[in-house]
Order: sequence, then structure tokens, then C-alpha cells
Amino acid sequence: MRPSPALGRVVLVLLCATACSLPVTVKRVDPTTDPTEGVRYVLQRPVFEVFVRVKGDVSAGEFELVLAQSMKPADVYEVGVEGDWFSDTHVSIEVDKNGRLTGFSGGAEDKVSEAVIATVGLYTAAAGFLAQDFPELVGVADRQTQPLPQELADYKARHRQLVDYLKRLERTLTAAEVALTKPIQDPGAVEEIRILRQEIKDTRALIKGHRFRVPDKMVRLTIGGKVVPELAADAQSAWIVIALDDRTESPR
Amino acid sequence: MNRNRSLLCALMLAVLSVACGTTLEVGEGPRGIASPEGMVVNRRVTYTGSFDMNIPGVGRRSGELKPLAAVDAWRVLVVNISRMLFADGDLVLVLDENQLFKKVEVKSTAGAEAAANTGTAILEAATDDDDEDG
Repeated sequence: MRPSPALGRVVLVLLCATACSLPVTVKRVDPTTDPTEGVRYVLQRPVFEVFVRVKGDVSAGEFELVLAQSMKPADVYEVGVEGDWFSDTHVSIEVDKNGRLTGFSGGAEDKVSEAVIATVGLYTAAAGFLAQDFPELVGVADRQTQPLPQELADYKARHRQLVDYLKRLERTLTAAEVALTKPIQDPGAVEEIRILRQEIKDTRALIKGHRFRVPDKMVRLTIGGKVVPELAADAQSAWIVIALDDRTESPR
Repeated sequence: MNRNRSLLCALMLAVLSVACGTTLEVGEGPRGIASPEGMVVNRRVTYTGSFDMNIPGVGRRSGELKPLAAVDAWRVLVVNISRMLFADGDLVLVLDENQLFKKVEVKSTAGAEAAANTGTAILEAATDDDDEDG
């Protein structure tokens, strides 16, 4: 018995008026209380940090003010999979060892035609784009060289110590390498040079990362007129106020 | 008459499927959104800013910050796809270490042929019915 054409048209028009989404449901959950009903992932939340660091030669006594952003785990989302009528669905969720979402793949292959009337499928188009590489999350105070004060004296002294230590190491290494070229050599010279080179490498890394974090109580950071809660300042006679504006927006 | 209506129906289905296929939907929401309609990822933003610094013993300084390419502290993106009937759709997201888009790929299969074949089958059914009626 053949189905009525009129009924077929009604069914197809109704189906055609319906749009399908990803075959998943997403909701924010409290991982400490909510029962697990799907695959969970962590969405990181940015926090801001303000610090100063030596600029150029330490003897010049110049510092620069730096605003940096780092990411901390925050919201937890749970993904449930639900199939659509008359479709084959597939979902792939990738998270790293800390539960952060790193990749997602999901979609549906339509089976309406197979279900209603025998037919065939067709593959046509694909589209994609690459986002630009994300630059370093650091904004440096432009053209500002801040001669900062007693609060940074210890930081500056330590920085000078490190720089002086590095210079001594480099001089010692040079002398050891010269000694190695002489006819009579110290049996331990090669090992000494290896240790010196490693120490120089470590010291350079230490100097590069050496910085003075401005205490939160001294910082008041606002974004678009709103104070960032993590760094809200209490009443202090000393402060650093940084006001940020959301200048550009792009979904990419 | 039935034959003409069926032909029109088949043409409409084909046109609709060609026009729609699968589309990427990117929306914004507040950070911490409870019931998003899609996958939630971080949002890219560029901040500009100024600072006003007052440290005891130094006095007051102020200036401009270089633009800060960063993660939006307030809003997130909600990503989904909208797929019409007869169309197949796939969404692939790859995120970087800050959970920002690194790669987004949408595969959209317009269901024109499927819709046309479906409409043709209906048309044939209607024609058969007309013949039987006649």
C-alpha cells in the first residue's frame, strides 16, 4: 500500500521547518555536589597580575611596569550526548590531564530521506579558518621608565647580585677555557667547564624571570569601568590604578 | 493537479536545502553561563589601558599601556551549528592553551540531491495515484 502523497508532503514540510543543532547538551555544574551525567571539562578564567621588572642595565636603576594575564581553572561544564531523529550522530571531546577542553568534534549525518523514502546522500562543501597565533599575554607600560623606590630596594639588590654572579661565572669560564688550550691541563678542567656552563645557563634563566610582584592591596584594576574583583584594592595610601578598555572584538 | 503540487513541493525542498545546509553559530554569553546552547570556550579580546601609580617615596606617575592581547575576563563564546533537514553537519574545534580558538572547521553537506530525490519519489507516487485514479 502506497502512502498518500499529500501526507508525505505535510510530513516533509514540517520536518524541513525544523533546524537541528549539535547532538549535545551543555550545562555548567558544581563538581562537588552535582552527580556526573556526562563528560566534564574545565573552562579557565583569566586573572591579572601586576609586577615590575628591571629594564636594561640594572645599574641604570630603571624599571618597567607590566600587566600580565594568567589562567586559572574556574567553571566546569558537562556535555551530554543526545541524538536527533533520523540522523547518525558522533561526538568526540578532548581534554588534557587537568580536565581543560582542548578539542571537540561533533555532528550529525542526516538520515531523513532514508527514513521516509529511499534516497542517496551528497557530500559537497567544507569550510574552515585558522585563527591568528595568540601573542604573549603581557602588556608593558609604554615609554614609561619608572624609578621605583625603597619597596623595590631588595628586589633591585638581589637582581644586582645575580647579574654580578653571572659576570663572575662568565669570567671564570673564559679562564677555564683558555687553560684547556695549554699543554699541561688540569684533569678536572673539562668537568669544571661543563658545570660552569650549566650554572651560567641557570643563572641567566633566573635573571630573566626575576621580577617584583606588586601587592594586590596596592593595585586597583578596572576593565570597562568595572573593578576586577580579584585585585580590588582596599583603602591604601599607595596604589596603582590600571584601567583597561575592550578595544576590539572578534569571534575568532 | 496533484502532479503539479508534488513537483512544486520537490522544488521547494531542493531550494531550501541548497540555501541552508549547515551554518556555524557563534554567540556570546556572560562568564559562568549556566545553560549555554552549545560548547563554551574563551573569547579573544584586545585591551588598551592606562595606569595611574602612586608609590610612597616616588610620587605619582601615569601613562599608557601597550595593547594587551588577552582572554576576555567577562564574556565567553558559545559555539553551535545549525543544520537543516537533509543536510549533514560537522563541527571541529581545536583550542589553544588558553582555550581560545586555534582551529574551527565546519563541514556542511547541503542536502539538495537528497531532497530532490525525496521530492521525485513523492512525485512518482502522486503520478501513480493519478494513473490509478484515471
